[in-house]
Amino acid sequence: MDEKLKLDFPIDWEEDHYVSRREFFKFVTLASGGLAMGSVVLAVWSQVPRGDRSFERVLIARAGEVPVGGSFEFSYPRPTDLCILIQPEKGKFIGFSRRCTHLSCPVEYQADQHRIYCPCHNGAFSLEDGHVLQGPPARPLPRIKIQVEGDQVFAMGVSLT
Amino acid sequence: MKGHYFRRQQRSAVFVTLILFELVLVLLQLWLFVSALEGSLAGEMRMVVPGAIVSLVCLGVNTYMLVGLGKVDHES
Repeated sequence: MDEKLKLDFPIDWEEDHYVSRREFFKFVTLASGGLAMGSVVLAVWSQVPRGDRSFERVLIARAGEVPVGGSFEFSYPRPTDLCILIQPEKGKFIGFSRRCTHLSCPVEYQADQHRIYCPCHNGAFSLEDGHVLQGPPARPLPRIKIQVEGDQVFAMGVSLT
Repeated sequence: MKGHYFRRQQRSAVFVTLILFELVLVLLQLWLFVSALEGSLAGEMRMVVPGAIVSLVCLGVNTYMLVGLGKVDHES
């Protein structure tokens, strides 16, 4: 059966697999076009403004639920977006995303060192604005805009800068 | 006869040189793309637009060489 097939449809495999220099040149030019298009797409994407993003105002906690010098976990704006609310001193509330900007490990508040720490790869972020203090993360921690009204703490949006 | 032989041999050398040059340009584009991607993921956007412009220039040179190669073949 196999032999008959070969006789009926003879294929010169060597010729079939032969790549001429011209074909190779065309292929490399095609690859060059792909890389150029990728670079252009990246350049266009980089021009998209990224800064503050406002979301629906959501009640995230009562002031009494957050210990002074401690933290409270919540989700914002989606249920899967884990965040951390910190009260470093009485009446001052700071919110950050809990996802480390390195590999998305959950970060934690270290009150004694006055910083936010990622235990996975020893990364640390500033408590003031979320900028990187040490470790592999390259981007600052997204900050959650917080508003306090009486006893209630609200999340207003996310700041990426 | 002899002249024809040398012309043919020279064309082969030119072809190989062009392929090597094209490969160098593609590697440059690859390096630019990876650097720009790494930078942009780290929030560093300064290199992205110049990288894209240089990459487009490389594509232009590569396309010009491909078209030129076709012309050489037609002439010979």
